[in-house]
Amino acid sequence: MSIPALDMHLQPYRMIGHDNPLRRNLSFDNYKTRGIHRTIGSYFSFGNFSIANEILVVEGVPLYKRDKMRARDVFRFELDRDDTLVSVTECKAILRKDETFRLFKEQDSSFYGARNTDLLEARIRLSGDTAHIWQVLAGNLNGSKEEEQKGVIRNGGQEIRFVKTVLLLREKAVDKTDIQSLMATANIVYSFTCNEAIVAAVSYRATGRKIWFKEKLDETTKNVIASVASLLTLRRDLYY
Amino acid sequence: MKPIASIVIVIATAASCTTIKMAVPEQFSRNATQMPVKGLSGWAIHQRASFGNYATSTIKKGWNTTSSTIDRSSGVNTEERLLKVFNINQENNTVNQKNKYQFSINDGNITADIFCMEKSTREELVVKTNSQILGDIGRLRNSQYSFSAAILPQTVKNDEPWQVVLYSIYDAAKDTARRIFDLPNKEEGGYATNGKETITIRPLRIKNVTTKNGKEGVMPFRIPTGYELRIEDGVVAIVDTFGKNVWIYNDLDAQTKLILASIASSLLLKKISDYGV
Repeated sequence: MSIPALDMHLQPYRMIGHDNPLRRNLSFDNYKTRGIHRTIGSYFSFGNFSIANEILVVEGVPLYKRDKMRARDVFRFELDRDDTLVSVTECKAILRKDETFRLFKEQDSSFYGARNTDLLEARIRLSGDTAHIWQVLAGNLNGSKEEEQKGVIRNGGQEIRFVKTVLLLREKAVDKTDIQSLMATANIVYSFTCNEAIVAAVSYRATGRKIWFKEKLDETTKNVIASVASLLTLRRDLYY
Repeated sequence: MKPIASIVIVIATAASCTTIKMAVPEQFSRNATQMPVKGLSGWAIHQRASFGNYATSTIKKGWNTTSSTIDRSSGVNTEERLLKVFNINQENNTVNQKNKYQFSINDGNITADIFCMEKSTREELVVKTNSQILGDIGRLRNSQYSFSAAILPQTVKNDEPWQVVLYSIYDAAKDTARRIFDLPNKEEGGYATNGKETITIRPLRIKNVTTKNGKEGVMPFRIPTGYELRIEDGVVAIVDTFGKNVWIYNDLDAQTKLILASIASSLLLKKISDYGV
């Protein structure tokens, strides 16, 4: 079985906000984001003009097309827990698309996004530990390459990895009086792994968005994961 | 588009006619009891199902909801790239479906309460052809189906709740099925557990079928016909969703048989297709 068995220790929390035009900030568990700032450049993408693209077209059918485009998403936000600042996160995501289509040739790796650059980097400064900055590096989050969508969060020797995957997860928080807390569903999530164990997950899709945390997760790890989960939710898709 | 839709139509037609049945191996059927299930089709108000000495209460149904949204795309695939090259309008559509129901089952002595929930999410690439004849063409990109149930046996002894989980995950990017009668490659499985014991649930796809007059035949492709329930390495029950039958192994105690009957009835009352197409 390649889907891991249901982990009953991961407790779900509803994640609301962001997609609501009246509520841009996220709230989940007792966390809440605030002060989300995006640069103006994050709202635009830039393409390259190509003479070959214009010439090599017959009756609207392209014989050759090279699609070059660049877009970025630069933003920062603060995360509070019980109205106390937990972290400040600064993020920069870039996508440079370079895909070539040839009608009369077999498509090579450049058509499938091998030349694309799809990177996200971020810095998380925890309020309780300003001396150490957590670094986040992720690749292919826009899914523009035939590779896994994954990343790593590091601070000195500590490392948390995340990857987009499908997990069986609890639908409701544990409650001995509510039999429905035994229910589980399959979800596309970013799963967070620390010391070879899945410690948290956040929904990939917006509909019914949730975050799951392992019970008894240490405060620092939980705060870092909450920051990265917010970042992954707030990021914009850059592939057009 | 792959011929999955045509396979589903063939399965649906065959199921609706019920001219063929799942062929159960004789080695198992000799030591098991076949129980035809009544009450699954027809009038759905105050629905009750029964098989053998098992009878359910009225099925209390929740809302069966379906919603469609434009959600975050799971990635870029070859079709999407080609459509962009030819400037063909497309949309990434996500369809969410959820269903809940609950009932109790009784074998004449013991009762178990059962709460069920099924959820399906399908991501489709919809091509806008701008043609009245062709309309919009949808292509399944991925789907996640999950069925979950909680079984509460109403006994003084062994009253721990059982948790049932069944899943079926499909991803077109990983699908290697290419031939006309190939069924889509899916990751699927399931289990029921009370923390001490585990029953494995395995979806069955078989080629061998039996006609109504007892003749055995072979279908050109494997068809989803039901589920096999196993304890350790032995088959203890077969749920035939095709011919609406439940087979339970004879040499089991009443408590285990009730749990198997509870799992079987909850699976038979599912409303959302887990074929992923």
